[in-house]
Amino acid sequence: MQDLDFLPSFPFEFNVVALFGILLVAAFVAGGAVHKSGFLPRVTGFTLVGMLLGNSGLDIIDNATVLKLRPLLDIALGVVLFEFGQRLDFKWWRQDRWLAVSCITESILGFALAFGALLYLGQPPLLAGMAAAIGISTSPAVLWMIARDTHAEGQLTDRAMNLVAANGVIAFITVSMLLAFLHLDQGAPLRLALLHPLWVVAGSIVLGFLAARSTLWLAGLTSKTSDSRLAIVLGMVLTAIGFASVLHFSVLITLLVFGVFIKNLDHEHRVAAVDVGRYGSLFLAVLFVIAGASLSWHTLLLGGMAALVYTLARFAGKFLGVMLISPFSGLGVQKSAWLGLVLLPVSGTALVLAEDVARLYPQFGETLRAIVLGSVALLELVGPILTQLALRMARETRQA
Amino acid sequence: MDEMDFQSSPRMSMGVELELQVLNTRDYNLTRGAPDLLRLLSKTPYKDLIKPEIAQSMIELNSSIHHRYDELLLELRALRDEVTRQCGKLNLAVAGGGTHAFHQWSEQRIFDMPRFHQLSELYGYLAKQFVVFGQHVHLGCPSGDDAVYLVHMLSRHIPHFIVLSGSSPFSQGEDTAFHTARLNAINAFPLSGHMPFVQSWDEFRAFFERMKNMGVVGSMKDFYWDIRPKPGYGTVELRVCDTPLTVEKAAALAAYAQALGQYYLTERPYQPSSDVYELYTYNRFQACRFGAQGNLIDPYTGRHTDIGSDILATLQRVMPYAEQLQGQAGLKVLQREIEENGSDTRWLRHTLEKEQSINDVVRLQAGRWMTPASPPGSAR
Repeated sequence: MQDLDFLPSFPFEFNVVALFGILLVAAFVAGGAVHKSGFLPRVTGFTLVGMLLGNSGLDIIDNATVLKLRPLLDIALGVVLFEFGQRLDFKWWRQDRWLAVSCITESILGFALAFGALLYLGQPPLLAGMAAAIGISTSPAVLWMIARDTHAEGQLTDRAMNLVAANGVIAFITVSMLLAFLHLDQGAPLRLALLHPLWVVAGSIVLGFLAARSTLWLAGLTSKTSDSRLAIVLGMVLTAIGFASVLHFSVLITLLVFGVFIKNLDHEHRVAAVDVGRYGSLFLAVLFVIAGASLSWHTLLLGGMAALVYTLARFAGKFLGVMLISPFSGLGVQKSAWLGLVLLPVSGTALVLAEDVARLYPQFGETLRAIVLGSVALLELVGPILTQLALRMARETRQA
Repeated sequence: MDEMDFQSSPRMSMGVELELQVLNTRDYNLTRGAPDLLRLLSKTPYKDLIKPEIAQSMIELNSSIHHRYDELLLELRALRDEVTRQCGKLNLAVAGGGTHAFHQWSEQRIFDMPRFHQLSELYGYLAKQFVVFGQHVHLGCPSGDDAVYLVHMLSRHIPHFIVLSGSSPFSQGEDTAFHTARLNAINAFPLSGHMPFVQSWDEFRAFFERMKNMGVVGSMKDFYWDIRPKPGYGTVELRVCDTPLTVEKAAALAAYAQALGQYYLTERPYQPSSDVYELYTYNRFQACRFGAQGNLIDPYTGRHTDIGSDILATLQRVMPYAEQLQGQAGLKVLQREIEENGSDTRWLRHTLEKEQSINDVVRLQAGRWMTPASPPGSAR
């Protein structure tokens, strides 16, 4: 060893642990300050800090940073999707079939209007389809954080969570299926076009199922009163996230399916009352910072008219879908309108879906990203505020 | 018309009010589901029988006026089935039981109605701790004097109703060691306890006017007594019971109250005695804490017995009146339970022991309320 080699080289690079810590602190300092205002959600603070640190601000968080943090972001989305999967209660659908109908109607209408609008603007059908499929999903992260922060509970909150979970399943699977067409469109062999989506979708579902079965079995080995169950569930969630990315499955599908199987297979209520979402919130906060950082006026302009029209058409479809079915369902008309509004936000999951496609075919991905990111940029400040407003107006938050 | 004019009603007609817990079906905590549930129920034929209560996680079922136990039971079952059906649509559950086993009172929200906000303003945290669930039984009386007499007579039997209905051993996630913890929440109120020792409706009316003129109360509603006359309905209202875990039990309790009332108004075996109230809090505490094993001192004879035996002896004595009113099946339900040393409280404790999870206790408790097949008197 030479003289003074023990000193760190300059400019030194933050490792992922330090980065995570700094962003976490920054997020909650800003989030807390914004939250004190009384009418802005904490999430807005996270996003603002991201914008400040991102490439349209101080440029501390660049693409390399985001790549480094990707495993943590997977954890954030994985945990929240696992929680949402558990809200997809098929028993409820059987007792209120209109809830299932409203979910399907709102998914199809949202897809159809967004697809039609993009076609009308002259976008190629495959691109329009892919964007519209991503648009079926609604941000689970936004709803999750705001519902927790405001202690929201009631029919609007429960139904919104159910719809967002179901939307996620439909969106993720549709996007994966469209991959087949994308492969063919880009001149890939048929074998690849067929096997890749199959690998992702079937693999994720099998992994989710196996994770759920083993979690239930492992939880059964411990006593209900101990804290072990929480640790086992959290550990299995992390394991599933890790395996999904190692095996090139979809983390989103795997964890969502994992949650759905837990909810619908847990006949002995072994993990029904285990709350892993509490820990997920920490990771989610950083996800919001990153999402804020990756957006700028530039992305907003790049998405342009297409992003704006796409956003409006998607929302119109979802809103209409909910309102059409509401007279038959257990939710009143007024609350249904607020429910439609809660389905507006798009965020982390949409970004991840667009990124995954863009990684396969960068050229195709560029336009797709522009539209989806543009939509996320449009909604990332407005969306959470409207979600909180809707929950408050429906009198389901604690402060109301 | 004066609110203190006693509206005569047919002797021993009866009605029941049941306060129910509204729960989510994930962890079975209380949830603010009452407004949505009431909206759905308002479209059913039962809309007039189901009402909001102080908290958004509580609804109240009211029976119509009945003369017979079997008719009351039939209606309560139909009400239960309708509520269960509507709950399914909303992914909610309802349950009986005097307290929620693990709910934290600070999380409670008060229903958005002026009277409820006034209560919250006046009583502070007591109003939120008051989120407990009781059964009220109304017994029709021909006159105010009869009502006053019956209140004094039934006061001796308050420990019976506490023991028979007890279904609240848990509070805030802990075993309280009480047979019913619900009454501890009620004891804190300044106007809880019992009616003063008056001898006639005129005397009672004079007492009420004094209290009202001094500004202590605004109406009869402000007295949270275990048992009170209700002049507007022409009834005596027994308010000490926990909401039992099944409607079958609720109907049986009403049948017992009815038979007791019939016995006292027919035989008039005792002159009202203030001795009842000297021992009142002692006997009441014994019932709340120890259930059927509690000690009871008979105010008329000074004899000590355990409450269980005293219930069995009383059931025996009033059985002919129950037969006359066709309510003997209800009394048999209660008799069997005491003989088998069962109770809702025991069932709850036993369930916790078996399941090891308080969430599961509430889940099974809701299942017990909502399942039509639950056989009467199977509480062990």
